[in-house]
Amino acid sequence: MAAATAAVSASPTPSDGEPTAAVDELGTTWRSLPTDAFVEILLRLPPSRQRLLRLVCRHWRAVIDERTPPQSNKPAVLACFTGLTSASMYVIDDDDLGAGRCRQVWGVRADPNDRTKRVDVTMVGTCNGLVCLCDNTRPGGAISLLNPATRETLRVPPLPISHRAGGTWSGYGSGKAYSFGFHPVTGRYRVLHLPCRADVTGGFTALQVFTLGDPCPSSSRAWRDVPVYFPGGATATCSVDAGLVTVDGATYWVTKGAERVVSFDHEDERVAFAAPLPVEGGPGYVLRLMEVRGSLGLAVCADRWPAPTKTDVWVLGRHAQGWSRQYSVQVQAGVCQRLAGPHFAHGEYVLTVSAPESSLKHHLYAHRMRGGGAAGRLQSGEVRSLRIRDEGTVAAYLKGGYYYLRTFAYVQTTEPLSRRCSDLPHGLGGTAVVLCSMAGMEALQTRQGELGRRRWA
Amino acid sequence: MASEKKVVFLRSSDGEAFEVSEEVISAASVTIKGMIDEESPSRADTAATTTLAIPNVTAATLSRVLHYVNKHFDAAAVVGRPDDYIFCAPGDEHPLARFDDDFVDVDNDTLIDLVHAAEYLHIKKLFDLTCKAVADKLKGRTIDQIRETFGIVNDYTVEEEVEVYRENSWAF
Repeated sequence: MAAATAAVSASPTPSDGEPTAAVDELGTTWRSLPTDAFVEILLRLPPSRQRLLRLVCRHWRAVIDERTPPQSNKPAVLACFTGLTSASMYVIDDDDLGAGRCRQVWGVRADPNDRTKRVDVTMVGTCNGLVCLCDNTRPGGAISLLNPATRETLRVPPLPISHRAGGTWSGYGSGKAYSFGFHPVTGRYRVLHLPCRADVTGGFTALQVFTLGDPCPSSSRAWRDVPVYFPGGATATCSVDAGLVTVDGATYWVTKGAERVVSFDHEDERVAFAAPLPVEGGPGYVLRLMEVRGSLGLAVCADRWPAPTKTDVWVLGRHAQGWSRQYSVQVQAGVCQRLAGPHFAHGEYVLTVSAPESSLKHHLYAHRMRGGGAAGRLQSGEVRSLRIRDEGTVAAYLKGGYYYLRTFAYVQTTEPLSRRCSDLPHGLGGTAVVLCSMAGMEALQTRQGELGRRRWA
Repeated sequence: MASEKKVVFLRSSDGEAFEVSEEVISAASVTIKGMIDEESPSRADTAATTTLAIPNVTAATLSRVLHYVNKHFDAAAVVGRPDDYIFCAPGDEHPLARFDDDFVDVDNDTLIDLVHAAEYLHIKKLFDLTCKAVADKLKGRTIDQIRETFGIVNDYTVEEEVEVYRENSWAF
């Protein structure tokens, strides 16, 4: 063949002078891209970004609506149990809540032959299908990110030593001082740490931020200190038991004396007081931050043993609208339950847990709200009341009991955790495998098999 | 002629032909392997080389694709098993990680052409790499910037756009 003899180099390299499309033809190439390939690209983005890209043009909206997983806008419940010798994570799909079906997506157990090793992993949060876990046996807590759908894991470098607690045991509860969030504009994931612990009173003047994908020269500089200033010079404090919640690009916490809710905006990195509390608060009241369909919630109840009889949940409106009461949950005497959190309102269900947490029954319960739960959206000023008269449906439980249970709204994703090892400080690419090598842990078992498959595509 | 040194020629849509080892391209591209397998009875034991027409891929793109393929699939050029780098030791960086980064550091049209070619030629690793690279370009940008970057015309009416905004804010 004539063409064959005219052939060029055996190892062709791209030349710089080759013709590329003129500027005014941009977009032509994109349109020529087969829909299947476009879909493959979309599937590598977080669900929230997929939703956002519907705004680009009609064609994109059509492809996203037709070809990306519908669950991207229909979250499931993710329940993370922390036991004394194990931790595990369950996903309960929407339709399964009432049926009491759940699937385990992750789990870890202490080695039964080695009593010196503990397991204490709590869940910090979840965003776009990525889960942030904290190993509390490490001083200051060791943070890892995990995608239960792809089994990909990533270890976040430890906090600078000055921010870590001393011994192993003083790391207890470290996970409570972290929050995990996603910035909708930059598309970056962030872990935020408040240098406070449940057992220590006192303020702080800076918080620590780790941004996934930020280039940084060394692991010691992976965490960035962000100064905290309040107008008027107020001291920053945090009541970790009220929880840290990150929604819509801001992290919120409650001050030590439960006087105010503080927000940290991830875009301008400034702290501010949120709207004044809707209730007087004070001693005898328990405040907990919640997530209510992407907004900040505040659960308020009287501190009554063994369980509060009434809990109100207020939701912070966007654009300085202040708090509005949206849920009022009454628990009948004899039913020892309190609201699960931070995610408790799921479709037409309200999630509860046994109270007090040290009781012998270690379950997550679902209660169906009567009337109008399906729409999932409240009219302005509407308060949804629920009276819990019975135990409800057991949605998930951990054999052997737990001492800490958190619930989240979860959407599955196949988005790669990080495209390149080189995004991370030196050496971290390799230690990304982590969860398997945490001290004292048996191989991570899941129902599907071992979490041995480490994916670094 | 040593049988393991067999080569094939690939002719791009604009008529340029490229030589590549048959073994390498067969390992890389499911599509071309299929073409070669179909051709084989007719060229059994002949010294004649095969030329395959690749009508959907231009010379510019094809040369890039073959550059990638030769790096990734030529057993002699790759240290260890091709997938070893997934299990790299702490601190190690796979020698091809840098190559991959540079490879997709190109203008948008070139990148989209590569996605297209990788899909057509069925080269999974290249397809994954280029799709991820495009996905990365869709992150960290505003909607306006994305339209500008990829030259996409906003065909929504103002009312429609507001409606889509509203739908999005309900997503969760």
